[in-house]
Amino acid sequence: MLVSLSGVQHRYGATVALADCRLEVAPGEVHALVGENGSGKSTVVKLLSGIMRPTVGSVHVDGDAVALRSPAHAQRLGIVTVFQETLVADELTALDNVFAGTDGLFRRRRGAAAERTAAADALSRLGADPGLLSLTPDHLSLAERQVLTLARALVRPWRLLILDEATSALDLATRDRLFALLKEQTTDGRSVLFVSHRMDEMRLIIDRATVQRSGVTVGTVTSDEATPATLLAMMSGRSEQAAPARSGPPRTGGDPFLRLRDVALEPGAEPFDLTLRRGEILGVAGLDGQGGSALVETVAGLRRPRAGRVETADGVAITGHRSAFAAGVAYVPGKRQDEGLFPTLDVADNLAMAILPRLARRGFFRRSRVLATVRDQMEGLGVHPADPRYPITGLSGGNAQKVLVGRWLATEPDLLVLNDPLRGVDLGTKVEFYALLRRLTDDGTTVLMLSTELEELLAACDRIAVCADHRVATVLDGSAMTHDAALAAMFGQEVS
Amino acid sequence: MTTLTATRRSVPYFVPAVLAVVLMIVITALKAPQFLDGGWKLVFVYASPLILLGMAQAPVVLSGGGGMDLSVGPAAGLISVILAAVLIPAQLSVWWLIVLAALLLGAAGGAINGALVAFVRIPPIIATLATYLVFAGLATQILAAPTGFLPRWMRWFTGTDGPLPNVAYVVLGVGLVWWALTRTAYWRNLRAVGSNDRAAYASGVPVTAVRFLAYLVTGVFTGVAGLVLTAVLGGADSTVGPTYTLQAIAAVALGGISLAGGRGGLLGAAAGAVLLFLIQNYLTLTQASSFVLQMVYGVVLILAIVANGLWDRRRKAR
Amino acid sequence: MSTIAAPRIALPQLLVRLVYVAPVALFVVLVAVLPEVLSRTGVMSLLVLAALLGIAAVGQTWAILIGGIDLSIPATIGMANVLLTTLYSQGWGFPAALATIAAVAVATGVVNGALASSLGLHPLVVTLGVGSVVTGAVLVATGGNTGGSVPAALTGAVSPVGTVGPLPVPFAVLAWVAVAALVLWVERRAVFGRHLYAVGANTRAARLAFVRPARVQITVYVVSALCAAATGVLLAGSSGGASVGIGSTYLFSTITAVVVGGTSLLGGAGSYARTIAGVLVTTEFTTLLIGVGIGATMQQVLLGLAILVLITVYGRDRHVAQRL
Repeated sequence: MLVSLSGVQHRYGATVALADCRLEVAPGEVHALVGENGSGKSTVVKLLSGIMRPTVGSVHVDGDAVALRSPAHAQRLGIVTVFQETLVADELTALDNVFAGTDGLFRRRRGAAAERTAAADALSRLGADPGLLSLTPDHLSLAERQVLTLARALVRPWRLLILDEATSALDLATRDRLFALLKEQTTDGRSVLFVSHRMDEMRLIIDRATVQRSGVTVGTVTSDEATPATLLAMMSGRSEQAAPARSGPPRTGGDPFLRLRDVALEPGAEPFDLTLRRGEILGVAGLDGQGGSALVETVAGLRRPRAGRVETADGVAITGHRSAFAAGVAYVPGKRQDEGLFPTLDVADNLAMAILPRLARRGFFRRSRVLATVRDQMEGLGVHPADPRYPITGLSGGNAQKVLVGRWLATEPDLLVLNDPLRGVDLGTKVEFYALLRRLTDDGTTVLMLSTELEELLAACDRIAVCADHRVATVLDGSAMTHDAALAAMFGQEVS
Repeated sequence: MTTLTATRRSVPYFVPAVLAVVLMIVITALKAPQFLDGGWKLVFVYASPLILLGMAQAPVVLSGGGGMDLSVGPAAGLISVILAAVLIPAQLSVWWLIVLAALLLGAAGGAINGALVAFVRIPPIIATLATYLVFAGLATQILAAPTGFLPRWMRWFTGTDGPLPNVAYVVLGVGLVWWALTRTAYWRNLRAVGSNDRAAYASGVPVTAVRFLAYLVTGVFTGVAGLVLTAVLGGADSTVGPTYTLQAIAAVALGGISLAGGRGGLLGAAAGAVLLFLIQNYLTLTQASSFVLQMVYGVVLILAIVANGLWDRRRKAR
Repeated sequence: MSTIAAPRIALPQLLVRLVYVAPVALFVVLVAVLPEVLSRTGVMSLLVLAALLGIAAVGQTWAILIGGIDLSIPATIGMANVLLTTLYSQGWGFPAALATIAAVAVATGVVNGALASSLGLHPLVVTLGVGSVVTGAVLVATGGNTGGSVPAALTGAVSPVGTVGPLPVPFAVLAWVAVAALVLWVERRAVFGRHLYAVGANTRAARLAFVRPARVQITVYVVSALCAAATGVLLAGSSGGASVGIGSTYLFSTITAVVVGGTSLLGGAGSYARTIAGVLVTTEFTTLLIGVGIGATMQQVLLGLAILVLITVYGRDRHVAQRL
């Protein structure tokens, strides 16, 4: 095997990102790595490219266990990665971006002329204008930047090329050129690990596919077996998964509360309409970067839609975060660490931050009054430990998330927008959380919840809006709200 | 294709600073015609410590991540004090020994800052603020009152034997060393790290080593500045060094070097320093009080960083 | 201001407790080494020095708490010092002079805060530049005169034998107590106080929780300038004359007091209560060093080393791989 992982685990603190990964990439093959969000794909990519090291087990290259210290180290062993994020340095020309990192600290590996020739060759084989090489990336389109990151990888002496969703911005012609190039270059024993959510394009090129689910490798299938239906079934694998049970049947919801009219989330994206009804839990599904986050952020007033408008049933337009809040929309951000928590403060401070101005008189508040509100919320949400003075960093992910939800529930919103609230939260807390959401909607609150886990949406929501290509592709409800239908819609497939 | 390339290209970063220098030269010459007939040589000599410290500041700023060396002023001051108050009185005044000592002391200071920033990962501003204190304190500890006994050979630095003031060759020498460094892969590594350290790391650039080296280079250039400072002062004065830190940062910002890292070079820093000194020189010519100078430094620094910030913001917005 | 929410290492628990014990312990050492400190004059001289530093360090504490730093403090101290003596000797009334100083201080703070927040420039460079402008402007406006007289009341305010009514305590010390009480009350019981922590802990999260970081930042630099100006005015009483450079030692001593107290330079953790402890420790430490014959310069060296050690313990950045 060129590269293999066997029984590899990776943990971030208490979160298990990879529980058991088995992956073998043979010489000369194009190997796909597929799975839903949070299945551990990106962790595998990071382990193979030297950004992180496994907690348990190791990466084997040519049969030997190696501790990859850095991306530079991985490159020396021939493992070259094109990351999902187009990582480029804006102050360097495209040419320098292609070759930065190939040198020693002082020693250049090739002359300037040789570099230009090689880069121009790589660009033209991908159908791009070699004239781009003298420009800086901030003058390039997204597609051009992605071509640039591909060229950067192709000029390196790679044996394993990892493409992590690295074709998403390419037009069809460029993509076909890339695939042809990869086919040709893998004939001499070099391999490609291909991570993509586009099943149809994957089939054009792969020899085998390995499927990940919730940090565990489900299995590896050959190209012939890797039909979308098989892969989707392996990815979902409901039979084995301990899916949280529904707390009750889906409801139809009441009067409209909020409307999105002809909203386009990105320039050029297809506009759509969406109505949120009072007392319902509307789920938002979709793969990363397909419009799910953009949708919830638009409802919360954090993003302006490129076209169309968002308004309440009373006709009040939502034009910004503050106007959304005034209209009764509270937004619980997704990335707890980056956008939600104040890591140096205690539970009480974290929970009371948004409600503080309302509890204060002339800018000062009484501690007892704040603590009473905090205790109320903590009790209602079942935060553990039930100590308002506890440091927020001492709480588990689920409890920290409850505190963040409490921050906004304390403001008594009409619509609670949750951006992937249960990422990395254990099953017990999830079930508790669904019951909580149900109680809220019983009291007339509306919930819009984005989740990267379909199981979660199926268990908690009354309807599910599935996003694909920066729009709401379909809204599932009633008996149509099934795992297969949602997954198929996420991957742009027809419901079978 | 050529038109596409031409329209999407932008002006080199140092052009505004160089144009401003030319403008200041014209303004100065109009005010004092003797400036062009050699008067500029003396001005250049007095400006040389600042020019060298501005150039010294550039590599760390280029290395990004909030890179900045607040200790350059006190470090140059300390080196000057060690040369003039320790080595020279001890009869260790042979030219090669003094030059070597200046370079090694500079390198040592740079290595300390570099280790604190790159390996220990202390925010650069705090790390160099602390070494600022240490260097400034040590300088005063060694030399309480200014001293002024220098070996004869050091007068070379302040003299003019050819078409250019001698110290100009020192500045050119530093520029040459830097130019040689930019011919190596280090230049691309440095700009990659300064522009986007995540992208650089992911592409295989040894980010930590590149950053450490930037501080080391800054240190060595600071050593040269310390040597020249000694010659220009005609001795050592422990209170002079720290005053250069603010000016060196202003010079870098004026020179069009992005304080966010990745864009710029030594030419811009030198131009920024010359510009700052010419402004100061002009104010002196117009009999403006020395108090105005302090204010002008501040105003110039603020304008320079605001222009820099607006520029960065415009680029980000694209 | 820090926009990256780095995972922060909690202050070592030992340090948290030690910081409040340290001033007492160090005082015992101080008395053991220099018995003459244990007298009304001795204690009061110590407290007056601590009060001057403590008032100036209010702004530095808050600036650091929100992830910034204020290097214009010495310039503002000098401005207040020179402006007071100059205006007073020109026949201005004391209140009118104070009002003028306050106005200049507010303007300084607004410029600092507005420049730092609007363009996202690092407060360090901004406050460095603004400080330089203030110092220059004062020199230009006063022609560099360093003479001038001060109100007699001001001399008493900072004299170790000064009194306030029946209390055998100089005004400066009482003023510090009052300022400290107000600052601590605002930190703990005012919405603004909690917003300080929110901005310092996680600016992005703060904005999403409807905190206005720019407003907080401007307010902090205004408060900082006002407190620095107060120290500058009080210093006029002890020096008798005026000097625009009188505040220069306060640049590093305020930072040291904050850092010694344990307020994190990454923002969001710490308090003025810690700075009070830090102020007492640094003042006692300085007195001790002077008492045993260690000069101001070596004190400076030791302070620099102390900052490095403390930051290494609790202020390190993340490795680049952890940001990928």
